[in-house]
Amino acid sequence: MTEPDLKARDLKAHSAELEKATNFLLSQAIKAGAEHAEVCSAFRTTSKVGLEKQDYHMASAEEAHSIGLRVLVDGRQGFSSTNSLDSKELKSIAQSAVKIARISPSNPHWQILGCENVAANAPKPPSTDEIEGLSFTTLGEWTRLLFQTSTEDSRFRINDGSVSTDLQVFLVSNSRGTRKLESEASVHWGLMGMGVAGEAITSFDYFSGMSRRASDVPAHLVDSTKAFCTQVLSCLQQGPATSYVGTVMLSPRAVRDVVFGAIEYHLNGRVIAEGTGRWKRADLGAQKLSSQLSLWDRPWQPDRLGYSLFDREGVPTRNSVLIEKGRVLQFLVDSYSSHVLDLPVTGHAAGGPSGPPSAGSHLLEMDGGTQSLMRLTQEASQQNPSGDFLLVNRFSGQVDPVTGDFSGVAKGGEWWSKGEKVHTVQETLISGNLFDCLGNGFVGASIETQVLDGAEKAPYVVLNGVSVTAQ
Amino acid sequence: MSEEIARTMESVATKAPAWVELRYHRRQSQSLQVQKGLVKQARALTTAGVGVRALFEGAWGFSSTSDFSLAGIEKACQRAIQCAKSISALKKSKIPKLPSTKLARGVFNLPGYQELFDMPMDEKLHHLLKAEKSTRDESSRIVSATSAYSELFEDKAVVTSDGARALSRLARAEFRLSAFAGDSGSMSEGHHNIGRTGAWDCLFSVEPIEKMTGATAKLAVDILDAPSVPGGEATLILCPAIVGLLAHEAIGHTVEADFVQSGSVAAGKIGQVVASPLVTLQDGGIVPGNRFGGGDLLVDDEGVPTQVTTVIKEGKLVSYLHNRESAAHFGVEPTGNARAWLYSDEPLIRMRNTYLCPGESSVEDIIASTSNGYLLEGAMGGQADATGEFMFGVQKITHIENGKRTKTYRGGTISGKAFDVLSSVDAVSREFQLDLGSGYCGKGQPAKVDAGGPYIRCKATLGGSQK
Repeated sequence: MTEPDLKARDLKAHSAELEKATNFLLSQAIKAGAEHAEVCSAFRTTSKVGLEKQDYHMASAEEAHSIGLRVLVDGRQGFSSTNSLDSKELKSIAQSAVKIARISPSNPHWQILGCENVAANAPKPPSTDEIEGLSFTTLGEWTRLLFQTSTEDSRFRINDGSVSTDLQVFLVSNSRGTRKLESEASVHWGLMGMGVAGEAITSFDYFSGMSRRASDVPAHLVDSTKAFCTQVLSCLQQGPATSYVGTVMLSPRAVRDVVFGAIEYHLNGRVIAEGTGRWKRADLGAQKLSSQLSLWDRPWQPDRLGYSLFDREGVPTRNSVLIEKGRVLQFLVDSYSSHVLDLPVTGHAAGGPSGPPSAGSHLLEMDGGTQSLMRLTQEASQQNPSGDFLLVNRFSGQVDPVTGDFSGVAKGGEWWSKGEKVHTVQETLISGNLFDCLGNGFVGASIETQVLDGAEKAPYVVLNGVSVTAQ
Repeated sequence: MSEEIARTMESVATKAPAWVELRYHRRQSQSLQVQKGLVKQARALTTAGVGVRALFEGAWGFSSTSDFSLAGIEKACQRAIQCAKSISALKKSKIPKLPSTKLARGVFNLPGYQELFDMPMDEKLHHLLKAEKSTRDESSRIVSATSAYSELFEDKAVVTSDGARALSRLARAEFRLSAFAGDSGSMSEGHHNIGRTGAWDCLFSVEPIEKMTGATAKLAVDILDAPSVPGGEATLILCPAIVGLLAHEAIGHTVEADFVQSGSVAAGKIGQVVASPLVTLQDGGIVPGNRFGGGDLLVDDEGVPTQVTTVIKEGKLVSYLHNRESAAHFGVEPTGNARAWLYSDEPLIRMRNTYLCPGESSVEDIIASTSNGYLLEGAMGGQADATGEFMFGVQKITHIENGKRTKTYRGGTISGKAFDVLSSVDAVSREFQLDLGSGYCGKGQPAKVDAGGPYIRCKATLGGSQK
C-alpha cells in the first residue's frame, strides 16, 4: 500500500498553535469592546478508508481548525466563529462577535465564569501516542478486516463503511482566567448495510465502534462486525405480527433512541429555566419515574466517546446520578441556567467551537435491573394475555419530548411468543406515552447492559401500555 | 475572491497527473433565536476552504485545505492523489475514466444574495421579536414561544481537469416558529418552519408572518387536549409537506443511484409501473413555475448543470438520480445531483427539490368525496430505508367522515412501503406547494433540500392507539 504524505500528526505542536490563536482572539475581543470573552477552539485530523457498494471506495486525509468566540457587552451576548487561524480573520471574528452582541437586547443571565481546576482524582486522559503513530497501511489493513468480516456471508450488502483515525485537541479559555485543554485520539469503524436474499430485503441498519487503543482494534472490530451482520441477516426470516396494546421489550439501542433523549430534555437546565418541560426546579428530589429506573451521567470513562474532564465553558465534570430510583436528583446546569435557576453549575455546558454553549449530558448510562434477560422475556410474555410480545431492536420514529408521546416503526423487530423468539417483523409500529411507560408502565430492566457505539450504556427494558400496530 | 481562487485551482488542475476536481467553498451563516422576549442565540459562522477529489488508477482520493495559496492547494491535490493511490491496489472493480459530458463554464448566481446580505441583522431581529411576542399573545394557554432565523451565504467555484469551471453564489434563509401550550400538567408544541433560496421577502411570499403566528399558536392549543388517533391501515389525505416527505424520503432515497447499486428496492425497476398513473415525481435544481425552492441549485459540485429529472412518469419508473460515476455505470447522462455540504466533504448523490406534480382535483373536492379517512397536516421528521419502508411524523390529524372534518387528533406517525402507497393514490389536487425548505437531509453529511407536491389521497398505516 502506498503511504500518503500526511502532515505530521504531532498534537503537541497543534496544541501550541491553537493556544497562540486563542490568546490572540481573546485579546482582540477585549480590544473590540468586549467586557468578557471566552474562546473555544479545536484542531482535528482524520484519516479514513471508506467502503461502498461491496468494494473499497475512497481514502481521505484531512486537517481542520475551528475557533469560536463568545463575548459579553453590557449584559448582551455575541458569538462568531471561523475555521481559520489567520490573524486577519480572527480580528474580523472579534469585531463580528461584538457587533452581534450590540444588536442583542440585554439579558442578565449570560455569564462567563472563572472555573475551578479539574479534580485531582479525575481519571488521566488516555495517551494519544499509539494512534498518532499509526500508518495509513494499518488503516488499510483494518478496512480489509472490516470488508472481509462483513462479506463472509454473501447475503450481507455493504452500502457504506469505513475505518478512520481521529486525533483532536480541544481548548477552552476565557478572560476570567479559565484555561482547559485536552487531546484525544481514537480509531472508529462502522458499517451501513442490509441483508438481501432473493426477493427478501431487510431494512438498512448501521453500527459503529471505537477504541482508543490500537492493539485492541482488530479483535474488537471483527467481533462487533460479526455481531452486527448476524443481527441484520436474522431479519431475513420475516413473519406476521398482530396488533395489540400491552408490553413491548426495548433493546438497549432502542432504550437510547426512545428514552434517553426525552428524559435528557426534561433534565436540561435551559428547558427548566424556560418552563418548556414537565419538571420544575422544585421537582429536585421528587419521585417522577418508576423506582426501578436510575440514570447516570458518567463522563469520567477514558475509553468511551463522551469522555471529558471539563465542559464547553471549562467547568470540571464529574460522574453524577441524575435520576435515582425514579427520583430526580440533578439537572444539567450550564452557567446560563445556573443564573436563572439559582443552582450551581454541574459541568454540563455542551457544544463545540462553532456555536455558543448550550446544556446537555456527556455520557448517559441507565442502570441494569434485577432480572436476567431470559427471565425478563418470560415476564414480558406473561404480561400479555396472548403470551406474545414485540422486541424493538431499533426505533425509527418520533419522540415528542414535550408531551412524551412516541410513535414509530420497530426496525429489526422480533416477534416473541411464550418467552421464545419466533421470527422478525416489518411494517410494525409502536406508540404510547413515554412518561406513562416510565412510571406505572415500567415492568423491568435486565441485569445485562450494553455499551452502544462506544458511548452510552443501557439494559433491555420492558414497558407496558404500548400500542403495537401491525399491517 | 472566487475568481482568483478559481484561477489558482485551474493552474493546479491542468498540471495534475490524474483527473481532479477542485472545489472552493466559502459559507457564511448567521442565526438568531428569540424566546420570551430574550435573544437566546445570536451567532455568525464562517467556513472556507478547498476540497480536492482525485480519480487515480481507478480509485478515489480526497483531501481538503483552508490554505488558499498555490502551494496549499497543490499540496491538498497531491495528498488526494496519494490517498487514491493507497487503495487502488485493494479495489476490486476499478472506476473507469469518467466519460465526457456537458460541463458548466461561467457564472451561475441565484437571486437574493446581495439583498439578504445587505439587510441589517437588527431589522431581522426586530421581526423575530415581534413574531415571538405575537405568538405568545395569541392565547392564554400559550406558555412559551420561540422564533428563530438562520441564513446561509454560499460562494463556490468548481474546476475539474476535464473542463468544468463554474462560479456560483446563492443565499438560503429559514424562519422557524414554535408555540408551547400548557394546561393542568399537560403540554403540546406547534411549529411552523419555512426555508427558501433567496432574500427575506421570499420567506413570506406564500403566507405572511402575521398569519403564521396565529396558525402556530392555534395548532399548539388544538392538539393540547386532543386524543391519540386509532392505529391501523386507513385512507389518508396528505398535505403538500407530507407528500414532500414521501417523495423525498420514501422514493427519492431509493432512486439515488448509489443506493440502487447497493440493492435498494428500486434496483432493476426502470420501465416498470411502480405507482398510480396519477403520480409523476420529479427532482429539480429549479422547479418550473416555483421560485425560491429551498433546494434550488444551478450547477452541482461536479460542475454539472442541474436539470429537472423525471423519476416517475405517470406511474412508471423512468430514471434514477446520478452523479458522473453512477451515470457512467448505468450508461446515461449525469443528472446534476452531486452535492457536498462543506468544502471538506466529498460530493455524494443528493436530491435538490423533490416533488409530486399537481393533478386536477381541488383539495376540498378530495375531502368532500372521502367517506372515512384522515387529513394529515404538518410534517415532522421522516426516515425511509432500502426496502422503501418509511415512517413520517405528523403534527395534526383530522378525521374526515362523510366528506366533513369531524374530530381532531394529536400528531402521530404514518408508515408503509413507498411504491405500495403510491400505487394506492386515487386523487391528486391542483394546489401545489414546496414546503420542506427548512429541512436538512442527512446522508453522512447534511444537504439543504426542499420537497412538496399537491394534496393526495392514498392508503397507509397510522401509528396510533390500540384498544
